[in-house]
Amino acid sequence: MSEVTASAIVDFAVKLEENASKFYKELAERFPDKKLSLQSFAKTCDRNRISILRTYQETITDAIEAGYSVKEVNLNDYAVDFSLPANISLADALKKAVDFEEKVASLFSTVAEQSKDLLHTIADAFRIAARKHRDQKQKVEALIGK
Amino acid sequence: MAILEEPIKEPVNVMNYIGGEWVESKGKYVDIVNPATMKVIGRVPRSTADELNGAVKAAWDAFEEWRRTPPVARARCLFRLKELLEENFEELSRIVVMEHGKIIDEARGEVRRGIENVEVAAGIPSLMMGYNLEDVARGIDEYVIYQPVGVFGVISPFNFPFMVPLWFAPYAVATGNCVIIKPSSEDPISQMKIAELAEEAGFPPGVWNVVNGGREVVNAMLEHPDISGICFVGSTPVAKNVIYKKCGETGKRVIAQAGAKNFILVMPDANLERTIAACMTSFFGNAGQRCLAGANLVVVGEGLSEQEFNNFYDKVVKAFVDSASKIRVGYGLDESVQMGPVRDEEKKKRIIGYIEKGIEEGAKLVLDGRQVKLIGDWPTNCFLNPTVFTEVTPDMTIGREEIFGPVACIMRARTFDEAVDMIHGNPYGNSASIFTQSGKWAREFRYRVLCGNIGINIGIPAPMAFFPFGGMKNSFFGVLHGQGREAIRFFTEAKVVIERWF
Repeated sequence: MSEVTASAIVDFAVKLEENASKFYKELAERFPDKKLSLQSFAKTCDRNRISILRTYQETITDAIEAGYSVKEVNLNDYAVDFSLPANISLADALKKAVDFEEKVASLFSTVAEQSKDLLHTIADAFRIAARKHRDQKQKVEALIGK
Repeated sequence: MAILEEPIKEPVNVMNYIGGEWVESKGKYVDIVNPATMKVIGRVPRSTADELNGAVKAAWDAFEEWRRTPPVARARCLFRLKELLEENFEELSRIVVMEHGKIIDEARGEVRRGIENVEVAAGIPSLMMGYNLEDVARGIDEYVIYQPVGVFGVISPFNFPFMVPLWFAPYAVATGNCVIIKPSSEDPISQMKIAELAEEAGFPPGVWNVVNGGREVVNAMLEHPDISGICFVGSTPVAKNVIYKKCGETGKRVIAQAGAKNFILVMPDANLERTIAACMTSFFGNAGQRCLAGANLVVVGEGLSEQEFNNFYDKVVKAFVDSASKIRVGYGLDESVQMGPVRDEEKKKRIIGYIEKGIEEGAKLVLDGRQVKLIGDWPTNCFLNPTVFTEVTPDMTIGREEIFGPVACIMRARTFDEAVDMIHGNPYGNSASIFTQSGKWAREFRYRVLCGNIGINIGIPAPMAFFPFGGMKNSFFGVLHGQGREAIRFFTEAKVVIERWF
């Protein structure tokens, strides 16, 4: 497996967060009784996106091995279906959310682990975002249980 | 992987920025070509000496007012410039990819480095403070004040078109001087963008000027009696025989940063995996067109038996060549790519000449980058893949001269002392690095090696904005260096005041 550049990883992560945020926002429109929770999930994704992008842009000078830091990630394995069919139930949509929260958390943890020696601060941003997605997964599961 | 959107849609007509006006040059225009796609992305003038003289006049016209502007107000212009650079961070980075050829991670790193210099220079109210002592004799006080000097010229190279002028210009204007930047005519677009942002940031007309061109503009700068100093980054022959010499003759201050041949030592106790990752960036980042790029990798056999040393050498070579052979080469706006093209076809030809010379002189070519293999369907005009030679000796042309391309020379040194002698035998002294887990060898290296920038487990020892960019021997001509406090000192005159009141 060949290395993935920092730019490619960050771009992929930013798109995941954008799409996840859109997913929750649309769901919030469709299911007003869960609006507050769903909007807070979207906000977490927005904050993660800003944090990862800002950290990358502000520390790319330190990340001098940016092209050679992440060796064993195949981004295709982390493709996520964020589509929301018109007639999807809240429970089914949240199950989808549980799946992608786990997938995103897993990707971010892997990136953080692999790049911690050479990308330092960027790795930290991924580690924190992974933790937030894991916490969020639990919150989504709790919402399904209600 | 998809190509990031190109910010330059139509060819850019590069203009001069003189006295707060955007001026079309009367000089001949030449094309600016994206080296990855070979498409024309702009045209740049070869401005005339008269146009440069006009900029000098505009700068001096602005000087008196600007030097009287309180440092805190000058700093606010720099804060605004920093904000504007941040707002345009991504566009500027992609312009750098298009005009130069480097990959997007490298371009963003370059833009960040440039911005960091603006940030540091914005601390000018503190940085420019003098010092004093009361009662140097009874009732007499003495103090030093730092004052701006006048108008400075900045002549920058093609390899870091955005960043290098920002090693100097922010400090020049922060200290109350005016500046005239002559960008590289190969990739001047990002400098035009910076000037647009400087205008928007509120620098008064004449404080920040850009005159595009080639030798005629450089000569006019050097000859002009009203230019107080020159900051230059480029090749050693020009730095030494033209810039430094001429500045001496005309009484100008000078910072002339020049060529390099940087050695990287790998000691037997080095963490090989991380050393190799660092070396890939060092030797092949920016397609090797970096004055801090690794050029000679010296495998050191200190403390090893002959057999152990041979095994260690083979292990390093194998890891290095394996990694280098996997580097993905292509257009820098493709995020999967790890190395872009060299800047133009002439440079590629020159690098190939060195590769041929290496073969001719008996070095062993173990990875031939002339066999171009690209990610994506791009014209191969300016592309090379990584090249690796082994069994190189310091007296070979490729072991001695600056290649400025993606060519690595691997050498053997039986002992640490022999490796240090190799470094000292080379006329350049820009940077040198050592990879080791031993504090003893690291300290010896830092203490003894005659190079301006030392890396300990760092492949590219590039000083941050708040430290000077070092350089010794044939890699630097001058006294004070660019960036940080030395730049503040360079751009100011120390005036001593001795005061007594009757």
